[in-house]
Amino acid sequence: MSPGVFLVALAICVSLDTSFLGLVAMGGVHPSATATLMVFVALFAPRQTALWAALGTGLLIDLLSPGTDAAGHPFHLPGPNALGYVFGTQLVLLLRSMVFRRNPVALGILTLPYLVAVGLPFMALWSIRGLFADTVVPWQGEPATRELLRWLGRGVYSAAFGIPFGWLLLTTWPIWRFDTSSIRR
Amino acid sequence: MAPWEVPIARHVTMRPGPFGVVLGVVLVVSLLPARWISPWTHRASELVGLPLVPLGDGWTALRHWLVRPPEKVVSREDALLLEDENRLLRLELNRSRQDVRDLRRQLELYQGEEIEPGLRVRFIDARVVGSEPHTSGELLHRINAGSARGVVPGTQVVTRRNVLLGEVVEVAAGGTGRTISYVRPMTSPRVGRFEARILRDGESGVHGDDVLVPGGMVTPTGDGWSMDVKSAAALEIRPGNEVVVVDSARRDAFGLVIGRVVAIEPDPSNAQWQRVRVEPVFRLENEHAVELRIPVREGPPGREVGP
Repeated sequence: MSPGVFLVALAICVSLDTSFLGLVAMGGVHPSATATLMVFVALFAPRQTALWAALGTGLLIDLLSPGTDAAGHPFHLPGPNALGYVFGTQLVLLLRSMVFRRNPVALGILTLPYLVAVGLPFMALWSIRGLFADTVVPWQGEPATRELLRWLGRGVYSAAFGIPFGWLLLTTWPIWRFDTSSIRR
Repeated sequence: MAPWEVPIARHVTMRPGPFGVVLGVVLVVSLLPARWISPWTHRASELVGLPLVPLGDGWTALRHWLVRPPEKVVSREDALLLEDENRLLRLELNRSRQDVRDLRRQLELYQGEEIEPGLRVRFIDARVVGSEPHTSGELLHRINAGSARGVVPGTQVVTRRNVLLGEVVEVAAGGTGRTISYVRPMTSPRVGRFEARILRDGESGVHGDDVLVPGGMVTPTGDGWSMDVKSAAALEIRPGNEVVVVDSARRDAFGLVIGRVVAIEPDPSNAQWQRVRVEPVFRLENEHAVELRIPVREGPPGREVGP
């Protein structure tokens, strides 16, 4: 996989998520272009490359998503998204041999379990931190199930968004220079 | 077996690679107290966010462009109607602004204006309502302001441009007469000689007793004035120069313009003198709205004092 192409695509997707896709939000949930990109990478890149890419992407998202500490100050916690993206990528790596990788529908649909998988370590880690006196969890004042449903809704919305966006990514497949020897289907 | 090797079967161990180590470090960091993490993660977030700023700005601009409110399209008839309405409103606005200016000016005038140190005057509006021969045989102009409003004989009558037109010679007394006065034009020979000076080119008013100023006594001639000045002083005079009153006996009229120089002629009887002919800027018989400068002799500024 070409790292340059990945970094450019990542920058576009992360800025798209943070600055534009809020426009199409429904019920406080908007699709995630970054999740679709990571599914795309996990489908085609070698295992280790996909995991490193997921870890880096998760750390980047952690550093761009400030939480709040108990004093009300902005607080960036590296970890929840990083571990979540690695877990989600691990899941796609397990599933990728069972799907038609070059099918945008498969790419879009895989975004749903991917995001749910991202949400589980995210919520687990924040729940542990919620036991600390200096941390306020992102879903403060709401039950955790609502946050889980939000991740599920985000997954569904991203799956629908991921079909056309995945098709767009698949059209750029040649410039990614993936190692075709690892692709069986 | 090394301590970092994890046994997963009897003869198989798993040795974590670099990725596992980094993942473990991230897990540990994510569980550290906030006060240990905040200082450097905040700086790190600024650094990683910096390259994304231009892209984010681009997306934000696109988002704003997409959600801008739709432009309302109006029909041609509506547009014409709105233009007409706009024009009318502008006219009304200009008229209102003019009213505001007039009202402010009137307020200033009624509050009393100090025209000379110690001499405060207030202005009242009046209208020239007719002309009639006086018992003395001269033609006087009747105005609709009298003793009821503080007009006294000698009150100066000016235009709104502060040009002296005449002076009140008689104020009717009693009954309806309290609202009427009679004004003699300054060009009338019965006004008599009074002192004036000529403003040279570039001068805008009378400032102190400048002995070098060309001036002297002016004599009303009926349709204007004549003024004798020394030939040397006449060299500074040009047709069009304004003539102002500086007569100490007419203190209330001090500094008021009466007319403009129209000609400078040699005095046939004396070569040392020149005769300056002056014609009025405005004539009382042509004016409809005038103002009366009523001196405020006593009391605080702005309080009307009766005759």
